Amino acid sequence: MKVLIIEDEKELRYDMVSYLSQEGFLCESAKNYSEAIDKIGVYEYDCYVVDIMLPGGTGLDLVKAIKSQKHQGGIIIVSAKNSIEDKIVGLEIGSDDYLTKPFHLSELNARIKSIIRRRSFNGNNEIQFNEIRILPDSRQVYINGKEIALTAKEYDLLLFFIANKGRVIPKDSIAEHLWGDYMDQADSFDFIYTHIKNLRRKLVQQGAKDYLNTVYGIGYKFQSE
Amino acid sequence: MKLLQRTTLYYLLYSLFIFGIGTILFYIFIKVILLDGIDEAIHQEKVQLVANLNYEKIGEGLQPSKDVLIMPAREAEVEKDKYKTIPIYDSLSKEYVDYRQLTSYHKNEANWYKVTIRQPLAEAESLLNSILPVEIGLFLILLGGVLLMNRFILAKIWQPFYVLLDKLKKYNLETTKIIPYESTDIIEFRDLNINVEKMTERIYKDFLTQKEFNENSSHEMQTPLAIIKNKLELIIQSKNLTEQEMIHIQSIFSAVKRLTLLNKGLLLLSKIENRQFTQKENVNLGELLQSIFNLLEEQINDKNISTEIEIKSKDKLLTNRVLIEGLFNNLVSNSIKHNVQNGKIMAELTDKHFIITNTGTQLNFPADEMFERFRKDSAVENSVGLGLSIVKKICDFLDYKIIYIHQDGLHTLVVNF
Repeated sequence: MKVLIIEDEKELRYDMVSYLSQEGFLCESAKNYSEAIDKIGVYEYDCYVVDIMLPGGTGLDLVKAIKSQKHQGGIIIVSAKNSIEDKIVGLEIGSDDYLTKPFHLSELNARIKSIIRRRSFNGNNEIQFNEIRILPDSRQVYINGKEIALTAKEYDLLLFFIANKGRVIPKDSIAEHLWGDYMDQADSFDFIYTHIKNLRRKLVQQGAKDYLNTVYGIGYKFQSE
Repeated sequence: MKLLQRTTLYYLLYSLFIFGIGTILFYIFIKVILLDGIDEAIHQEKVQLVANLNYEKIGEGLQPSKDVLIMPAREAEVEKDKYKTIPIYDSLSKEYVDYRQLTSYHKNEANWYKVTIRQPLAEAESLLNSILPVEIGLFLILLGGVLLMNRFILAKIWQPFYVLLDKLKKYNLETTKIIPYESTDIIEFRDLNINVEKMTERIYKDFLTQKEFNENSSHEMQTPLAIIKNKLELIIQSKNLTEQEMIHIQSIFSAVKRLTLLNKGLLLLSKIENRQFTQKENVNLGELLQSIFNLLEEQINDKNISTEIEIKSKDKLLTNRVLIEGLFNNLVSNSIKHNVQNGKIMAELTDKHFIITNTGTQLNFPADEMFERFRKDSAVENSVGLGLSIVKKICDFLDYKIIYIHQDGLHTLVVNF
């Protein structure tokens, strides 16, 4: 899976490449508009992460360029401006998602995976993690072939964990993923704990292994060993 | 009261005073002069009469008119000439008429007699009586003239002033920007216009600079925040962290989160100030409110808060979706955040207003500071203190009225659409 990261801020670019590379993505990056145009002209990627404000041009124009090349890859717009107009315009011209800075790398990772999955399986997709099988389109979860009933939050949590499997996910990231900015930080940690407890109980009861590890003070880690 | 009206009022009061005094003095002088004249005339008549008496006999043709009376008198009654004004009943007109009367005693040969000469004062009185109406008439003409002139002055001379005043009243930094200089031939108004232009120009420049600064600084803060957040996420992937280090990292995460929220709040405030939410659409407020309560359900349940939500609104409201969502979200979140365990929230939504009431502890600051930035209840952690100032700003921008009421331990916020 090839990902092109277009971001002018060196540190952010480095962080994204670093995190996503460990996820097994083949990451390339561009630091300005012209460099991005050059790369788009030569290669095709599975996913593009595009910063809106770039030296030499706007990310929205890059999205148009990607679309005009008939590239099939998914596009995520990243912006420091939490502006509805940008979001609407971005989605209208063909991007798939929109993230506002500052975001968590685990969130970006989950969104990229979700986009690539949607694009590459055309509605016929499924996620397999050992004995756990998920059908994202119908939001169904099976363990050893047996369906289990999860609440919406538990389902979102499971999907988020699997997307970031093997990584330590900070509690903040989980809270934002589940509730956006609606929830108070202090409260949300308790609620996360409740949801995780329920999810873990349901998974284990149905015969799945306990993949969830608590990382002291910081968050959680979902891993197979 | 208008400036011109006030000065005119003083002028008129002074003229009224002068007219009043003038009328009284005039009346007295005229009266004195008239009486003097009449007295002089009857005196002459008496002199003539007395001269005639020396060679004519009393009683024979010596009763020249009904206004002249000659009567014998005793010596003891003799007095000096005396003038006085007396009312005499007139049987014709059936009323008393004033007369000026001279009583004089004279000796003809051996006999004293009394001469009484009268003259009616009717003419003199009618002259005197005409003074007041004439003066009142003059005063009214003056009054009318002054009022007419005022109209003219207001319409013409003060025109530039009222034009400017009107512009200042309607002045809005966003739309008017600068009040341009308008030429006028009155020096004071010209100065005023010139200086208003200079002043608004300066204010507008400052406003632009500040606006730009607010938004830019908030934007610029996003990137370093993003870097901190991302670096932390990379650090925690390390397997060699001690528990103590992890606790520190969690604290940094919290601090970054708080900064992020603060920054987002400030950015939203400056966006509202920069009028970036002018687009309006029809919003179903009932659905919106319900969805916000649903999103916050866990927090509500966590504090075991009971809710009574009454949605009576039927029509959609033409408003800005982002702002109205921000408004509801902040108000509902606040009602949970500042609530007590086992508390209560009552919300009522109609087409006209939104009322939200919650149980909670007493405010530890004056209620009128409630909508100020960074005014927060110190008991509530993680509050950045921007929620209600965002609410206020949104209400101001959308032209909604918001009122806070505290009664019987209940906090109520009313928004009138």
